[in-house]
Amino acid sequence: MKTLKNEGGFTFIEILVSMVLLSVLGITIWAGLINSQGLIRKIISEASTSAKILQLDNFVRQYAYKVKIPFWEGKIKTEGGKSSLAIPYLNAECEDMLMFKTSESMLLIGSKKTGQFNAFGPFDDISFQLWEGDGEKPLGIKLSISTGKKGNDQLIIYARFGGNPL
Amino acid sequence: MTKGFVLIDVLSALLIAAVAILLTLSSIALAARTAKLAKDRAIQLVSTRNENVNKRETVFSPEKPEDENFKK
Repeated sequence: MKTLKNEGGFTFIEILVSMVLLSVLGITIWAGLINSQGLIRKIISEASTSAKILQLDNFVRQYAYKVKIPFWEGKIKTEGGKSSLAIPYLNAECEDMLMFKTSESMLLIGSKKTGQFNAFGPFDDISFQLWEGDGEKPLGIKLSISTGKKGNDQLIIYARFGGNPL
Repeated sequence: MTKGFVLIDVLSALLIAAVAILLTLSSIALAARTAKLAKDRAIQLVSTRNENVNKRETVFSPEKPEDENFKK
């Protein structure tokens, strides 16, 4: 019976070449794996930021539209300081106020009357103020947030009220 | 067959594994790019909505005259 038997094996050069190839391949894969960890963190961060931006934008516009200032009002009286803002005439009621507050890099938006607030964030830099057009009449809310860690991605949302004074 | 350690078999298996890992890594990179584009699109959407809001003005529709001969 004839058996296959290779007594010769591989030469030293062949083994050396294959080891070099393997090491190059291994280093490439190692670098790729290290890089992929950062990429996965980036994917999670970017997807989360996109969702937060869209959610906040929809909510702010929806709520701002509920503010209906009567046309005879000249200048509305807002309350609050740097970290909070309250705008009257939410749902066209003088007593009800649309409130913006910041708390530990979270933005809280809600109604003063019901006391229910929705939290958005965390965002690095949050600022809000009345959006006044060419004149002094308030047109809506100007909301500015920073979406990037370095603070270079500044996002501004202009949300218009449902009714404006003439 | 008493060959034992066959270098070619091991090398080819490693090559297949390397291709599989590289494919996985490239799909992760593609997902990262897609996520970045999605964020840019979201920011673009917000700026477009801002422009629309800026253009919007309160328009009062004129009262429609009931008299057909109004223009005369």
